[in-house]
Amino acid sequence: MGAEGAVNVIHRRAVAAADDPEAARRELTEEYKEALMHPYYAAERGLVDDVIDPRTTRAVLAEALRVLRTKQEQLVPRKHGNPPM
Amino acid sequence: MTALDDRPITTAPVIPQPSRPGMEARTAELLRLRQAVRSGPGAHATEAQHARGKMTVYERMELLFDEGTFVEIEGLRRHRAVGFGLEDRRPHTDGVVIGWGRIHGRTVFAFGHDFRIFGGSLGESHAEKIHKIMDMAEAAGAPLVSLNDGAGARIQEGVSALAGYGGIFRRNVRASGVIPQISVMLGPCAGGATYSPALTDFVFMVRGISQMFITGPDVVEAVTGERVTQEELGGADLHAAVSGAAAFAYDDEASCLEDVRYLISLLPANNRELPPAAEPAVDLGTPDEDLLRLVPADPNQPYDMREVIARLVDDGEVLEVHERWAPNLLCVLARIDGQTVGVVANQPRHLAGVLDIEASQKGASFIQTCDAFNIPLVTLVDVPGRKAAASSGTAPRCCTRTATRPFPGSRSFCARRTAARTSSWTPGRSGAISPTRGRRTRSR
Repeated sequence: MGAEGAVNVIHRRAVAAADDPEAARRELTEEYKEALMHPYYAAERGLVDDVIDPRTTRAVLAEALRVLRTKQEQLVPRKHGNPPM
Repeated sequence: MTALDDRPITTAPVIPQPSRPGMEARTAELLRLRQAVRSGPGAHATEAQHARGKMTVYERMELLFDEGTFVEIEGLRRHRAVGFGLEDRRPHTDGVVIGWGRIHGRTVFAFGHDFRIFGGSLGESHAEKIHKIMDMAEAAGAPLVSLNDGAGARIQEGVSALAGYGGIFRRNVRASGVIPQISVMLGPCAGGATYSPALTDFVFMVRGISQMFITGPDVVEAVTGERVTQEELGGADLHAAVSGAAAFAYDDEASCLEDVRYLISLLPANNRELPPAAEPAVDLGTPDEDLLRLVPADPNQPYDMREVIARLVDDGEVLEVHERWAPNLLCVLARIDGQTVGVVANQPRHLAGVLDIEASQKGASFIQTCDAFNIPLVTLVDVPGRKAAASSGTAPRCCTRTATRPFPGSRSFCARRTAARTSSWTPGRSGAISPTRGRRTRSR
């Protein structure tokens, strides 16, 4: 959901009750974007490893692939999964 | 063309958009944020760290890893705890730096406490970062180094912090014998901050800087009335010489971290690999005349087994484990013909090289470590007697008996049944107990 959609849900009553509903929606939309819609929000919570400079993307990918080259993870042995058919 | 011209020209209403920064401005902001994170909570905090004779966590990472190879992840992490004013203090990193880099070109993972942030204390987010890097190291099959400079649990976060420790201990135990785990103590570490290092393969300490204790001197005094200093209670000398908790002790951080790098160069990345080989020795054919003089033919004359070891290993270069604890038994890592070996040797210079409880613990622990990481064992045997012993392993073993004294204690060390290749020096004797010698060792 985009910021405007989110504001329409969260602040529906406040927007409707405002003297200038459009201005109130704009303000609340901006507030929502600043609070939640940036990569630092995810980085603060460890949902992403880092925020990177787009220009360094190739090097960051190469380094990540290099360090994961030997990665091994064992799954519990099983006959097969049981997904819905 | 009637009313149209009269109508005012209207367009869609212009919504004033707050100016959004372009990509360049955003990357500049990111760079500024990164620099702020690296410099820590402020110049005063860094100065205070330096004034204690300690480096900052980033300075340590630079020394630990090959130049410019350290990659930090989750540097922008912040805690979400509330209460006790924590909601107003949410520094980036949450007091721990995690990532990886290269040591002599090989990948190694690390975490290090930032003492400048909450005294390096462990909260929920801090712990989750450590869990993550431990999981990555285990999955990648690469060594894990911890740089410990933390005050223990962040008490403002209560049981959440303690649960975080549980997650660390569980991973320590699960990864034990799978990847090398190395703990470097670089600050006053109390409580939870010491239990994890105690579970790892090798503990490094620095005199005057590092301490390990369950609780600090204040609690000890409150409970027992006894006054002790931090160094007396849990300093490097205590753990290196008395408790045996520290395998290595140094005078400064730089030489300590240099030896961590040396140790890593001798170890495999994990238990499924062989240790990395160096260049094979050039000249093995020339007989070493010095070996004839180093061990006296007279069995009552003590000698320094270190000198014998130095003649046998490449360039005479060794990394001695537990140098000052149980010095009657020598445990060293070195290379022979370019291959890493663990040398276990009786040291006649101390207690005539008798195997007492501490020496047995030291030897058994070292043999266990070597066995876990596929390091062949070389034993140099000159045992006058035995007080206790036990260890087992499947790594290759080569046993050389230098003893000129007869005693069946050597069996605990190097029995034909347990060694793949045994040999004895020409004056070597084994077999029946020598009554005088036996009595003398027992009465010590």
